[in-house]
Amino acid sequence: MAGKLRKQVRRALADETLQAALSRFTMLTRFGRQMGMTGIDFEALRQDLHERKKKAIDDLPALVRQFKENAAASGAVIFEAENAGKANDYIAGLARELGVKHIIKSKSMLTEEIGLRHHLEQRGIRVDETDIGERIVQLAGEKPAHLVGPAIHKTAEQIASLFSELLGEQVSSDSQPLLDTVRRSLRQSYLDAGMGISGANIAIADTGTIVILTNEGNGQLVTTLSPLQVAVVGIEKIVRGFEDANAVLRLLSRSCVGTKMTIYTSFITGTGRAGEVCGMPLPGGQGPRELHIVLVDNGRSRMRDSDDFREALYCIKCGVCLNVCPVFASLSGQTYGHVYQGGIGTILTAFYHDRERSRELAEMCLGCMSCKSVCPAGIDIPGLIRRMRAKHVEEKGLAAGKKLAYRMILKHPARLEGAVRTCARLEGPFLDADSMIKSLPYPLRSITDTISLPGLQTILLGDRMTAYKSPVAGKAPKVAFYSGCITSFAYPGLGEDVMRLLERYDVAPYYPQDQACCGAPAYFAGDSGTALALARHNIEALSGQEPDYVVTVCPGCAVMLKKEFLSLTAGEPALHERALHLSGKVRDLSQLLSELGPGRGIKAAAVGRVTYHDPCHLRRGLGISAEPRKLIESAGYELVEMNDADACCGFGGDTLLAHPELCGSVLQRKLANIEATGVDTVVTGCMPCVLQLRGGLHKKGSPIRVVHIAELLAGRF
Amino acid sequence: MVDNSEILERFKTEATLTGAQVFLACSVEEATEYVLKLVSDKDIKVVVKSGSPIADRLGLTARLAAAGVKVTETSITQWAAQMARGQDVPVDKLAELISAAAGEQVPAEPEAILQVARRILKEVYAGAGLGITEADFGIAETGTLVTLENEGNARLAAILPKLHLTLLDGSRIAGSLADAAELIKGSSGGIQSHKLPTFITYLTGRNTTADIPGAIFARAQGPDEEHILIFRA
Repeated sequence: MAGKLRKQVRRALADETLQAALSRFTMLTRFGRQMGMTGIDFEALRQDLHERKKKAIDDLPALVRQFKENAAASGAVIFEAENAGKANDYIAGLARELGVKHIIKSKSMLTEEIGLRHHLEQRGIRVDETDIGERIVQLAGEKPAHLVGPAIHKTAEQIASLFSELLGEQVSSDSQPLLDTVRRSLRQSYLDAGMGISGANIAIADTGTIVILTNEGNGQLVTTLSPLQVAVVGIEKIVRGFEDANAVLRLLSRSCVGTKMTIYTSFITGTGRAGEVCGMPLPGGQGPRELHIVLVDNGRSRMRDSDDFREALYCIKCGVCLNVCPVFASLSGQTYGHVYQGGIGTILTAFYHDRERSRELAEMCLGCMSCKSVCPAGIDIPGLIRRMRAKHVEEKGLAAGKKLAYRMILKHPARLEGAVRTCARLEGPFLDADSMIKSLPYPLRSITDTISLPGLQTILLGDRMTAYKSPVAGKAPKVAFYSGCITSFAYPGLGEDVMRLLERYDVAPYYPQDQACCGAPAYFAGDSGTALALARHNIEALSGQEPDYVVTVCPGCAVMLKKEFLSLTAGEPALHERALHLSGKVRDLSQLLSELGPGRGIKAAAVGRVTYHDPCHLRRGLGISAEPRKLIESAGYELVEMNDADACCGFGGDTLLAHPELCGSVLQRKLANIEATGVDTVVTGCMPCVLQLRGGLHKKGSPIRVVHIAELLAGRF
Repeated sequence: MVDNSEILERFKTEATLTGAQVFLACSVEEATEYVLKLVSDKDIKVVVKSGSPIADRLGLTARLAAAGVKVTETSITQWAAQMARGQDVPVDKLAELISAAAGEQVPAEPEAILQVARRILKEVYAGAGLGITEADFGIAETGTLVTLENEGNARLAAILPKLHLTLLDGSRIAGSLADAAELIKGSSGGIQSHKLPTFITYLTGRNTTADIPGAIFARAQGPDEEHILIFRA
C-alpha cells in the first residue's frame, strides 16, 4: 500500500504540466495572503476565531438543537443524516418525489466527501457543478485538487478540450473566449434546473441561517433560481450567533485569496415570499419554494468525542494550509487520494474515509509547521498529525525497521554510539574526496539519490569534549551545551566551535557527557514510549550541574527540550516539574548570544555576502528569526535575503526515508532560491538543515558553502 | 443628518479598492445625470430594477423611459402593476394582460401568475444590460454593500444583467462587520415578520474567478462591472 502512494507521488513529481501549474499557484497564493494580512492584527483575530470555534464545538449538541428549531421556524425542512448514505438517500428521494431530472450545484467539499453527485448521477439525474473549477474537474472525471481551487492543476488547453467535448463545438483556449463559453453554458443550466444544491460555510444557530460564500456568484444563482433548494451542511459549521459568523468572515477570504471579503456572502434564512398580487400572498417569491437543510455528521461526532482530534473540527476550509504546505506544493490535491488534502486532510481522511490511507499520508508531513503558522482557526495541524501517528503506533505497533531503530538503538545512548562507530568504520569505501557519501546500496540508495550524506566520525563529540566535563568553577553563567546527534556523530568540529564561541562571550560552557538523543525521531513517528524514556534520560543528564542555560545548535532538539518534554511528562508530576525547570533554561545559540551581548574581540570589518535559511523549528517552533540575521550582520557579512527564506529545506526526518523523492523536490525549490541570490555561502541555524542543504548542493556539484551560524561566528574571532 | 463624512470616505476608498466604480452624488440632478450617462455610455437599452426609494426620489424610471430605455420592475407586485399600467385590476384582468405578454394562456390564480412571472423574469434579468438595486446599507471597513430582501429579485437583478448599479443612501454606512450585524438585528423585526429577511446579501467588489489559467481576476458568472452610486442630498 505504501508503495502505491510512493508511486503516485513520483507520478505527480514527474508531471511537468502539474509542476508548472503548482509553482504558479504557490506564487499567486503567497502574494494573496500577504495582501490579505495587511492592516489587520492576525494573531488577535485568529485567537478570537479559535475561541469562538472551540466554544461552538464544545456546545455543539445544544447548538444543533437550536439551529434545527430556528431554521424550522423560518420555513426550512431539516434532515439529520448520521452518515453519507443517509444524506445521499434523502436528497435522491427528494429529487425522485418531485420529478427532478436536472440539478445545479455549487461547490461543497462535504458533498464531495459523501459522494453526492455520483450517487445522484447513478440514479439518472443530471447534476451540473456551477463553480467553474469544480465544473472542470467534473468534466475531467477527477477529484478537486484543492479545497478552494479544485482545478488549479489544469491548463487552458485541457479546459478548452473538456468544454469542446461537452458542447460539441471547437472551444478556444484563449482565456477570455474560453471563460465566456463556460459562463454561457452554465447560464443555461441555471435556467433549466429543477433543484439547486449548495453547501454552507457557516450556519447560525440563533437565527437558523445558513451562510454561503462564492466569488464567482454561482452560489447566488444556485440558491435562488431553482424551485427547490437543498443545503448540505456539516454540523461542525454551526456557530451560535452573527458575531461568530463575522469572526469567520474576517479571516476566511483574507487567508485563502487575500481579499477582505468573499465577493458574495449570502445569509439565507428559510424560504422567501413576494408581496401580494390581487390580495393573495406569493410564497417562495422568486427564490426556492422549499429549502431542505441536510445536517451531516458522518464521523464528526466521533471526532468531537476524541480529545486528541476535536480541534480538527475548528477548520473553516479556507485552504491556506495547503497554499503554504511544501508537500502540497510538490503534489497538488489528487495525490492524497480521497477528498481532503494536505495536513488537515490527513486527519479528516482518517475520520471520513480511510484510516490506512491517513496513516500513509501522515508519513508525508515534513513537520515544518507552515500550516500551523497561518491557520486562521489556530489549529495545531502538525500536532494533530503527530497524535495520529501515535494513535496508529498504539493500535498497530511500530513498523519493524522503526522498532529496531527507535526502541533497540535510539533509546539506548551507548548502543546508538556503538552503531555510529561501527558505521563509521564500514563507510570508508563509500566516501568521496570530500568525505561525503554520494551513493549507498539498497535500501538506503533512494536517500543518496536525493542528497549526499556526510561521513560519520569515529571520534565523536563526547570524545573531544573531555576538557569540558564541567563548567569553570566560580564563573557564571553556566551554559550546558546540548549538541544533538548530527553534531555529535557527523559534525563534531561544530561542537568545538560552539565551545570556543561561548568562551568569547565570557560564560562558563560545559558539555554534559551523559546527554542522549532528544527523541524527536521517535516522538514524531508516534513512538511516545521511546521519546519519554529519552526525555527522562536527558532531564537527568542536563540538570546535574545546575546550568543557568542549556544551549542548542539544533532548534528541533530545542523544541523537544523546551516544549515537547512538557507534554511527554504530563503524566508524572515530579518529572514534569523538572521538565518545566529545564524548559525555562533552554536557548537556541543565536538567541543566547543575542541575550549575552557582543562577544569579546569579534571582527566587524566587511567580509562578504551570505544568504540565510530560516530553519522551520527555529522560526516557527521558537519564533526566532531576527536574532541570527543581526548576528550575521554584526560579524561583518552583508545579508542577501533569498525568496521564501522560511520555506522548509525538505529534511523532514522519517519522511526522507519514506518519500525521498518528495523531500528532494522540496529541497530543489530551496536550492533554486539559494542559487538565485548569487552568493557563495548560505548560513543557517540547524544541523538537519545543514545536512540536507550540504547534501543537496554536493549532489549537484555546487560550490556553494553551507555553514551553521556557530561556524560562521567562530571564524570571526 | 449626522455627519458621517469620515466613514463615507472610508467606504468609498474600500469599495473602490474592491474593483467597484464609485460615484458620490450630492443632488437629484447629479445622481440622475450619472445614471443617464451610464446607460448612454454603455449603450444600454434594457434595465431591470428592484424596489428603491432612491430611484423613486430621482424619478429614475420615467427619466430612463424618456431616454428610450425599457425599464422592467422585478418585484412581482410591481411587475404586475407595470403589466396593469398602474391600474388596480382584478385577478382575471391581470391574468389576461400577462397572457398577452407571455404569449400563452395564464390561469387567473396567483400561483399560476407567480410561476409565469418567475419564468418570464428569469429571461428578462438575463437579457438586461443593467440591473439597478438599492442597498440597505454599506460597510466601510470592507467596502461591502448589504441588501436585505424576502423575494429574491434584488439578488437576481444584481447578478444576471451585464452591468450592475447599486444605489446607496450616503447616510446609511456601518463602520464594521460588527456594526452591520447590529443594524441587521435591529431592522429585522420590522421586516414583515420576526425572523431575519430570507436573503441578506453582502456584495464586496466584482465577481471573479481564478479557475481559468491566464484570466486571474476575470469576470466570472455575474456582471461585467459593479457601479455604486452614493446619494447624499
